[in-house]
Amino acid sequence: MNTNAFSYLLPGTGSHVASWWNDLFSFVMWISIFFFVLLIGITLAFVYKYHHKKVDKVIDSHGNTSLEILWTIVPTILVLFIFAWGWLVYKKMHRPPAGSFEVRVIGQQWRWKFAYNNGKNTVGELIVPVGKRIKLLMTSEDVIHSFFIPDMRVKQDVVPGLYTALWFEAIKPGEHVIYCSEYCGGLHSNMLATLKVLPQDEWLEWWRTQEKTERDLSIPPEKRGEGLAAKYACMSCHSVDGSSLIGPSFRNLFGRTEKLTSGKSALVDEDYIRNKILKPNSDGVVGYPQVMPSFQGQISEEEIMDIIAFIKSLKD
Amino acid sequence: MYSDTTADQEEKNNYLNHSKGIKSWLTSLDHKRIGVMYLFSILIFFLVGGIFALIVRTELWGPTKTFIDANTYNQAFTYHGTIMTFMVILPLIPSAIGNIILPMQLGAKDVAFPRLNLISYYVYMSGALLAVVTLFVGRVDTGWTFYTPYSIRTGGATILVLAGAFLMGFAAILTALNFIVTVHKLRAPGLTWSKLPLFIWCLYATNIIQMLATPVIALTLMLLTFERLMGIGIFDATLGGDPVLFQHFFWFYSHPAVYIMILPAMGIINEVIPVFSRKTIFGYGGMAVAVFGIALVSFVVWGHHMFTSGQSETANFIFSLITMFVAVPTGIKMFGWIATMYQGSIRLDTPMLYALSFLFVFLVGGLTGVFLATLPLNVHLTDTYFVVAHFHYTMVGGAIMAFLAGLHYWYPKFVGKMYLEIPARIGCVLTFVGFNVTFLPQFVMGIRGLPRRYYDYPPEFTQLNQVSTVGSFLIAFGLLWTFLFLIISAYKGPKAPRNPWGANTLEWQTSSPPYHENFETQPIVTKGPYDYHS
Repeated sequence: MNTNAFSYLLPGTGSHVASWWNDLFSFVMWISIFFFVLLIGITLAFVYKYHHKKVDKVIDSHGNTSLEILWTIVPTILVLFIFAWGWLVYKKMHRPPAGSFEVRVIGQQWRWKFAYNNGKNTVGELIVPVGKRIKLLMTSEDVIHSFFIPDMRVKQDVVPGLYTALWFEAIKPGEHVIYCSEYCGGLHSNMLATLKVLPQDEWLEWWRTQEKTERDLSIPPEKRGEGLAAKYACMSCHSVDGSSLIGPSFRNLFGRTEKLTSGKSALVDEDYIRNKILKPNSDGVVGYPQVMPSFQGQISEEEIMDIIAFIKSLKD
Repeated sequence: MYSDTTADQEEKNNYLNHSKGIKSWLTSLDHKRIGVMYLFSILIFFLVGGIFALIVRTELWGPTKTFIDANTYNQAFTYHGTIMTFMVILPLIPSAIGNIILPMQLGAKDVAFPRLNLISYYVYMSGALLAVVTLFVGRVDTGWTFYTPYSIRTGGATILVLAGAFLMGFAAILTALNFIVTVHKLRAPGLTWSKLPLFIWCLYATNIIQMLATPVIALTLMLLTFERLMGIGIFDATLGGDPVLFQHFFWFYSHPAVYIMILPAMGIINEVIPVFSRKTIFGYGGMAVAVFGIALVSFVVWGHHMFTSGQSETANFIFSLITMFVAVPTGIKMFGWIATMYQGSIRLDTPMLYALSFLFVFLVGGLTGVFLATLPLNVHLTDTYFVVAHFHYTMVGGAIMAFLAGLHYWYPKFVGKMYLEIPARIGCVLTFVGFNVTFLPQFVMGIRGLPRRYYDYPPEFTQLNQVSTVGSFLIAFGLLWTFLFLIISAYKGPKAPRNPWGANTLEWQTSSPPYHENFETQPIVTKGPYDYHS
């Protein structure tokens, strides 16, 4: 499907919109190459031919009206043609077709959360079936983000206080990267997600499976905690190797005394961690921005216990 | 040709020797001295902005951490962008070169309001220092675009930078007003509008944009300051405001600002190409009209920065369509420059080499602009490295190459010495090669989808990033080389004659360097600015 002359420049082509995009891109590319070669070629030829050592007499002229009219009209027609072609592709790219399958997207410094109609939720992973039109209804909890799937050639800013939408239809199963492309501070470049396109039957199976609510008791709590920390994207801001990111590192955190912005200090114990997960910005740690989202209502008490066990285990 | 006594007179009365001491410079009302002060101040900021560029490029040598953390990286690209746009490229050609050359090309003794000229320099400097001082008190990480609501929420000394940009805008308005009045009132006898050098036309168009657009950014920055201080709720959605409104305000100024940067650059190219081709500029009228065409259109295309912001389809339709028309006058200029060389007698001195480099990079900048004007292509390419490469091709490739063309072209007039030709040509080649090595790979990264302002990136982009980083150091080397030899030339260069290039415009009729009040006697204009053969 990718018979494009410039395919080595392009990202993957994951939808029909993307291949229409490729055609338009190639056209503008060929026009550009034509004019570039023409103009630079003429310039170099002039520099060579009319170099002062080769020229006895300059033939001065003040202009040439028909030439000037020509190079006004030809570019005008060309750009209007490109505009019209662009508009046709844009309409298809931008207007979600009726009857699309809806997923709600919430952007938050620095993760993408997805909510599906049957109550399923995912973080950092958008799971959709192949060959189905997907419409994303998006908003932000804090600053402006931008939802960008290069392989689908779609991008839409995600704005607090506003719903924006974006649609795509994947033509084959596979994985595609999702970027945040509007600068949103500290870990902007880590605000990635994966678009997982599953074959219809596999997707249906995923869709119908209830998330395991009971904990897998066969593995130790700190292992469960590690999985949960990944699920809730804790490690976007808290490292496990001792380096400071947006928040304090988890390594050697438990049992330490932290200085708080109120001037008090606090021992990091089980209660401290639980409080920080549920009400993170009531009294922040000195030296770190107070930007952590609250997990109140999203995380169960058992899960908090597992995460505490995980943090406890990170000791040198 | 001149007797010794005339030479002595020239030496004693030129603007550099007219009065001595640092105070005589700092309080000078001479437009040439004020221009020189602008030039040195701006070049120092250029160095600072350049160091930040190298910090950014060095950090991007590999994915994840190379030598600084994410927050420092975000500050580095913020300072790079803020310094380079507000403190360097916006004032570079108008306030530095324009200040020196504009009155002389008009055959005037000075600008219309010399005191206002000096005031605007100090207003600019206070703004610039206010912005730079934040490096030591608080730092800023908003990006040079200050998008809300991030710029409302983030910490740091954002307000100081906003106030600095506000003051620098004020200085730009004062300079623009001064130049406009000067062009209207102080033209030499015989210098009719149709005989004005195109450099003046370009500065004049630039000044009109500065006067009309700068107040908008001033108000926007003020609203943002109030928002930060008092939470008045203009841009913050949680207080009933609209964050996208900020983008409309910001680009309503910042798109015309792009043309504040590029029109004076085009003005320099308009001077250099005819002189070094010994030919009249091709289609003087069309060239002048094209400049005003670009200036006019620049006010009604701001929405093309916001195709993915959530603005309406109707707005996207209109802005994309109008943006397409920018290509037309830009094309006219490009074709006109090339046609000027036809059947001429071309000399490849350094200013002409820079002008040819300008044609090359500006053509790439212009053509990639057509990609970005095309709606669906823009949706994919916006906020990626493609945009970064595109605006560096226009802003750096365009404005800086043209500035260097002008700096070498007028160097004999500024300093009274010729620059050293061979090292200058080498500097041009180094900068040109470095520039393309830096920014061509960024087009590829952008097309493949890598967003801009990314501290960390997928490993597949490592090689392209490394090529780009090598290129950035080559630019730095080329520029340092160039400026080093310009400094050496001031001491070792041969004495410059009045008119080393055989140009027609008035600044070449006075001594090099010019007298304190520019001309011995009032010059009178009888022929066109590019009329070399009558």
